[in-house]
Amino acid sequence: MAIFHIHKTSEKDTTYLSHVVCEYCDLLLEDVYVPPYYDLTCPRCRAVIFHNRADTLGREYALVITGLMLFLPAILLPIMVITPFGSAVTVNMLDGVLVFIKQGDPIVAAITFWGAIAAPFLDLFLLFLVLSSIYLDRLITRNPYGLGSLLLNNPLAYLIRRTAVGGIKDYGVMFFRWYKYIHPWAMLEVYLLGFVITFTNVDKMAASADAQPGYGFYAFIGIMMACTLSSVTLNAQLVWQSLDKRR
Amino acid sequence: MSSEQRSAISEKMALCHSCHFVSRLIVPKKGYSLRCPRCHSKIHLRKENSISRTWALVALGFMTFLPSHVFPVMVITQLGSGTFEKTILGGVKNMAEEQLYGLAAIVFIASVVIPLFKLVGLSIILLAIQYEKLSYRFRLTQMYRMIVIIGRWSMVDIFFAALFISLLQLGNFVNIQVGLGAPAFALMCVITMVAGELFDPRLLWDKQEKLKNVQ
Repeated sequence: MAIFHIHKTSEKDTTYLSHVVCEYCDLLLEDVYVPPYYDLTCPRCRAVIFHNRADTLGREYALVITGLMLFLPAILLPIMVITPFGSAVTVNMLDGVLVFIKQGDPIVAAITFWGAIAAPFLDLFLLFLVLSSIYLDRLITRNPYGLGSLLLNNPLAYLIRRTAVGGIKDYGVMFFRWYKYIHPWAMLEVYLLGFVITFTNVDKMAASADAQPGYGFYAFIGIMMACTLSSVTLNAQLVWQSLDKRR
Repeated sequence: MSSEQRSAISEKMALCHSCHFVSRLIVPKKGYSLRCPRCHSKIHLRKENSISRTWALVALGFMTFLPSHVFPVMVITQLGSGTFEKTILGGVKNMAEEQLYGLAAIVFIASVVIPLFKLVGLSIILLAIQYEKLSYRFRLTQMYRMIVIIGRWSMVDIFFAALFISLLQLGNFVNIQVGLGAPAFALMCVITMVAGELFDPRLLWDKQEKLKNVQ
């Protein structure tokens, strides 16, 4: 029973919502009009329920691809360099995990790995898969005889899809659901604060140490920006609508 | 105004928790469960057993909070000057002594104030639901949202320890070992974050609806 309709002809359009429910206080609102770029706030508990954001899926796609490209450099290149006794000591993000394993503390190693490396990677990668499926789908619907169908409607692709469950769009739904659950665990901005604290401490502790950010730090800033910006501007309702099979 | 405000549950509608699709509830056949028509995830009117699950995790959080501040996070062995055990609060004190007041404040807030705020705040909300003291539920809902938003920042201590310890593996001069405080603190962060996710703030607003139906 489809009730949540969005009637939107262009991106600079007022959105009409037939039914909205606040996820914090369960208030039901009917027949709401949201002007472009405005947020809908719950009149009872003041939570923001709905953002009428523009269609910036292309920008998010670009951000996510950039973040994925920067991922290996961010993990493997040195994030901080100190020169305590004349010779340089470097540390990268993976060292911060491995040091705990070396010292026999798998719990902290696992939590650090999850929060600083695995969850941000999955965050970007799942969003990449979701947006890829949306864009491939748009490609095919716009041009049924073009490159997209050549990629997806050939016998081999058909066989692959038959063996898996239900085709590309269902994967999109699955991956976006996972993205929603994994997103709060991607804590790169918290890691940045930890970096700042370490940096200042080391700089203050040993005057001769001379701490400096390495190349990995710049790559890390890149993936942090990609993660944060892509989630802040993401139009989740548009993604769900594009993935919706019942259109 | 207040008479016009209706909850979705009283109109027999439910919100899908993963895609925010609003659907009308029907009674499913035996052996079938309700699924969201758009994203095929299960529809729950409220998160399952959220009060008891959150209570369990809050209790676990209190139990890990104490050891995380009693036991040392780092054990530093310096050649010639002996062994130092650094707890989180000891680290804060050291930073304040070195005139890094801003950093000391950040670490103190992230490792003491935020976890305590999360644990005590969730306890207050849960007690308010169980004893039906719901006159402050607007403020309690705002507090819950605050708890979810700032909860992740207490992880900053773990990341600081990770970078600091791996940076100062300087051979024989200084030896830094991880203490028991680090796993306790990391577990406490994760447990309180999960507790925030499992709690359902709509329970604060349900009682009124039920009372209204009775009257």
